[in-house]
Amino acid sequence: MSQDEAEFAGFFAASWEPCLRAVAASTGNMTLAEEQTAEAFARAWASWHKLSRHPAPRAWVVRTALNAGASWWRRRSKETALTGDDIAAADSQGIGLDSALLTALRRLPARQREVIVLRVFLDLDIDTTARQLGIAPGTVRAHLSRAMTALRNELAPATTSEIER
Amino acid sequence: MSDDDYPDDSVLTQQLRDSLSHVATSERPPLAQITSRGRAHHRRRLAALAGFGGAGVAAGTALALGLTGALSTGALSTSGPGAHAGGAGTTRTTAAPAGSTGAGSKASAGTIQTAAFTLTGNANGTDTLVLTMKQVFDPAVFQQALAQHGIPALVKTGEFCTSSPAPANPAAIGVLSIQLPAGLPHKGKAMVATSAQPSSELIADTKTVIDPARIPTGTELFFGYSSSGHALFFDLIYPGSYSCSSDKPPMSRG
Repeated sequence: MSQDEAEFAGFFAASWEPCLRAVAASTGNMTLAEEQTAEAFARAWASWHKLSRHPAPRAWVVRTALNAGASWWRRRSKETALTGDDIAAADSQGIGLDSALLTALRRLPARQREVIVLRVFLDLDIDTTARQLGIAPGTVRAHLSRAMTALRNELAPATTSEIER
Repeated sequence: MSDDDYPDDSVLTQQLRDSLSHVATSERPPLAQITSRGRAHHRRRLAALAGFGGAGVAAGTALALGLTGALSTGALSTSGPGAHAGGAGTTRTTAAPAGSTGAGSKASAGTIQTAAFTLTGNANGTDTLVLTMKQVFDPAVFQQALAQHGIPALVKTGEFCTSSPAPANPAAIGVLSIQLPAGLPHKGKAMVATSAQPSSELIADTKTVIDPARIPTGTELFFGYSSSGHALFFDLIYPGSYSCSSDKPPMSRG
């Protein structure tokens, strides 16, 4: 095994699970997430000579995976209105994610969801998140703020009703 | 979260991260499967960078090689969905079939059709080659078509190249899967791919599935066209270490 292969093997072993989780949480479909994540890691290996020097290779993998699935989601969103909790609930059962949370995540605009994935799920700092998305740090903060507000509003009624019971 | 985020978000952030930790993940796939897929990506990208993305290159090559007819704009290019280059030219490229652009498939391989062969990208990353060879077989066009489909190959006419020591027979390791035309055995040619003696030649009307992901690292396919028998000899060679001869090598190797 060459040094490159050994490095990539280490990265793959350590990063598969967190990347898959982030992709699954974003897409809500584990089967699709597995395929997209595998594809992203394959592309990572194809570009490993560059990616090995990348400041946030996991973010690259997750973004590549989500981009790979973007067309799939565009097709699906045309076929099925993504407003029903039933869809998210059905999907979330397959990945073990709270259905209300999944529904809320899926209702976010794509850019806000990307910021959540990179900033919250992959724990990148604001500047790195901004570089990954090719936007200004201030824009990341704005997207993050709007996303968190939207998520809080989406999740609050359920929490409140549980308390009131 | 750092201090550049809103303090009120910390509870929600933790809730999101906790939820993520409950996501049930499956076992990670074998590394070899990922790297094999990655190598196929790499080959396709190299092929694209090698200059097969320009219609001008394809047209220039075709003219230099004396092809009859004119290549339409976009012929042998990596045309996007919906693109179609047909007309009176001898080479026609069509977009990949619907559903073939998913993960792991070829982004824009589509179908390349000439008088001598048809090469079609499949959704699973393989390619189906059907030979007709009813007209003069053009090695440069065939090599271009293979490269466009991410298949590294050297193609020659009247010459047969081999490496020593030779890599495995591509038919024996699944790089090529040959479906014989109806009515064979064909004039005594060693066409039948058996486990004991894999085929080393393709003849007209042979349908062959090529799996670029199975090409061993450091090797490429070789195709040598024999005009006398209208047959296409094939093998794997090491690109930096091979020799060619007008004599056809022994037919089969395990």
